[in-house]
Amino acid sequence: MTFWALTALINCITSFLLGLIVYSRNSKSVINITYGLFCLAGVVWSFSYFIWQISNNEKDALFWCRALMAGAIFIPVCYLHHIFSLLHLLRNKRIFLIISYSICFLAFAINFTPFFVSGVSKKLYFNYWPNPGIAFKFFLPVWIYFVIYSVFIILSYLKQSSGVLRSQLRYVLIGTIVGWSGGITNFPLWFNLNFPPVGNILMSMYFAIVAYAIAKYRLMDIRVAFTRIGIFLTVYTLVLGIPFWIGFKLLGQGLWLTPVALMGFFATVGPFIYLFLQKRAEDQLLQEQRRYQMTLRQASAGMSRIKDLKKLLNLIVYIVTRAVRLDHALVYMHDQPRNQFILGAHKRRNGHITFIKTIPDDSPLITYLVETGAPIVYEEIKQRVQDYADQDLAAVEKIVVALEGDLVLPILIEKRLLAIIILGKKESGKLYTEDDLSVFSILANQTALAIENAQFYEEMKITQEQLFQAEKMATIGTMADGLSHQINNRFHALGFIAGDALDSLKLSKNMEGSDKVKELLTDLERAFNRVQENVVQGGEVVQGLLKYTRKGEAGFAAIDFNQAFKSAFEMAQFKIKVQELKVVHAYDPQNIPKIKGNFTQLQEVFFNLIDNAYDAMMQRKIEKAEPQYQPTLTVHVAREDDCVEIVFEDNGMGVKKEDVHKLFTPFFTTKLSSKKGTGLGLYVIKKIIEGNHKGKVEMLSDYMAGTRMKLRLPIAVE
Amino acid sequence: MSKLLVVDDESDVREFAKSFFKKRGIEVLTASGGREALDLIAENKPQLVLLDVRMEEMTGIEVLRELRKTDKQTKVIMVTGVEEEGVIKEANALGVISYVHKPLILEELEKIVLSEMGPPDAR
Repeated sequence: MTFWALTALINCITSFLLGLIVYSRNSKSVINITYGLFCLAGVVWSFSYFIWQISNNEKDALFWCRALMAGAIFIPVCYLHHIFSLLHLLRNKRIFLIISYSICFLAFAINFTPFFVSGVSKKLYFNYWPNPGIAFKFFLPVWIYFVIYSVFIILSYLKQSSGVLRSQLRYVLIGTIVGWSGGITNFPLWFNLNFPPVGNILMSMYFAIVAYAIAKYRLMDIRVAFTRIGIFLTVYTLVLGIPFWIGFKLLGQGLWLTPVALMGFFATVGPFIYLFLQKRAEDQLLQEQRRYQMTLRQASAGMSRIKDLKKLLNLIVYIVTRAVRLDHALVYMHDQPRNQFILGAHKRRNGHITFIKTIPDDSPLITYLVETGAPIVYEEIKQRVQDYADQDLAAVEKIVVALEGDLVLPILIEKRLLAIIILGKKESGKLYTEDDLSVFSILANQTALAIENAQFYEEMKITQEQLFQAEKMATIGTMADGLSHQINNRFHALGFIAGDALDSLKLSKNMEGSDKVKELLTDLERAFNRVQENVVQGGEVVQGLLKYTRKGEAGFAAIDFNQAFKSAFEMAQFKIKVQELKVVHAYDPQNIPKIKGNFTQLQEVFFNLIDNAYDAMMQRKIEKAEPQYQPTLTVHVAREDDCVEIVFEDNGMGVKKEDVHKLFTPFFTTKLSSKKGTGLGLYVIKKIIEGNHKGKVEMLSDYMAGTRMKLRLPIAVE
Repeated sequence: MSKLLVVDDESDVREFAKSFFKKRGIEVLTASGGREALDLIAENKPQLVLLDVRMEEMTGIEVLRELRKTDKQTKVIMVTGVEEEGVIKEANALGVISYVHKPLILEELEKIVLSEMGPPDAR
């Protein structure tokens, strides 16, 4: 097997595999199909070339020579076809292609006649090198024309294109030049110019480069790619090549220790040299990028110290816009209760545009981000939508365009999407590369942690607020006794003063006096009567408060539900507007079993239930604004086996399924303001009913429709 | 003349109770604390004592206890702000006419007092 046969074999395998891979990647795209076709031609050519090289008689050599030309004839035209598809010129160049293919088919028809390949003869170190026939001499210029035209057209479109296509074209251009230079080295020998086809092996390289360009959407920066390859080749040629060469020489002389030692040494040192050189080279090439990547990394580190969520988001957009030199950056934060993402912070370098304020949870963009968990590069999905005609992806693309995003970064903690960062175009106009994305993913992780941190901090502040409120309430409770005594005394004194004054006024009725004076006295009498009424009312309020705050007896007794409910309801009157509420007693008050329980505690439970129901109904009233809405609390009491079953049913806001169990934990509340709810109500109810009374509490709720609180309590055995 | 003793640590209460009942021909004595009250009872033997339960120096129930050691006759009405069962039980045991709740309407108090004290002496 000669070197030339080997190159042909390599070419064959390469073109076959790459053609197969690219075609199977997307068999519907015309780009991939034409590439496949081109590779097919290449396979035919290189396979025949291989067989030709290993032929040992003239007849076979001639046949396989002609076979390889069959492939070679079509290579340039198929290549042009592919380039046209890449540049979306197929429609324009239809006629051109038809003519070109026709010429090639004509050549193909003539191929197996002596007019094309007249024969084979010995040239240089080849036994059977072809000689050109007449038709060949006409065909060759056309062939060369195709080659030059393909390079030319790539060049001209390269200048106009942008984005992913531009990257791809750069690779294709390099690949093309490399490939054709290699291929062309085959021809001199046809015309007896003693130049061997050294460039053959370059054809493989060409196939590889172009395959990479087409198949992968996110291409490495081309300079980086070639630098890496260049350094790799240089280092390893030196590292392995020299020792091997020395080795061969020395082996010939019977020495083996030295070469083995040399090879061993260089093999170990090689990788380090490679990495060192690579890093140096890339640092040079990618100075700009390294700079901003470092800024971003530093920013990431500092972020977790910021506790204020708003500040954090603003910092993120600021740093990113400045460091990366972007058009604009936006952050959308997840708003759990409202199932949407809200614009949290934004920065734009110049100009003012209003940005979209919310993105709903069920938007295709969100679904896509959660599914893939990966960043979206706009240029890539744009290309993908074009190539694959994917409708779902097209929907996502639309949204990304509306958001004016060039890069969409999901901020995830485990599978939860906390936030989205939208990055606009780089000012330099360059694409986002693989390197960029790896830095951004670090940024995204840090951001996720920092956001979670800030959120925890905010929640903690709220919880602390609630704790303080609860403590304040508790303190007031302990003071209630002394306070109510003081207040009661004031009322008592006022009552006596008013009473005495009224008394005096009554007596004055019999006295002499002008009409004006009499009128004045009547007014005074009325006033003091009102004072007395207020005194009585004041006394009642204090009584109610005292009854509620007093520790009460710890023991159990046979409790009448009606009494406990009445008492609780009276208490409730001081907190809620009872006139807005309709209470329905769906049971016979005379016919209910007595509860084995503690009056004060049950009163507290009922009070909390009434209060919660009221709040839920008021919330519904505000949020749904139904004109005919009548807040109704329906109470059911019934005997269930050996228990009393009590149900408080309201037609308020209801609670979401996932929040139901959370409500029983201390300090969790869905009430709109922390002043309205300490978040302890249901927790306390559960403790009293299940802990103290050994009963059961159950909450059944329909979000937006109402809630049913079911209590089961033991019956008092008399 | 009928005598009524009002025991309360609030000066307004004492003052206006005095003014009110004076118009009805009842002599009103006042005491602001337990000690003073006991002394006045011993000296003046009032027909009726209005005794406030919650006071600073001595509670009403302590006064009652002290009183009942030596005096079983003097009529006492307890004036209470809060229903404290223990206090009520004890007061009952020691002997009171009744208890009234603060805040009071004087007219109602008048009815109770007059019914206990009998018709006022002629002025």
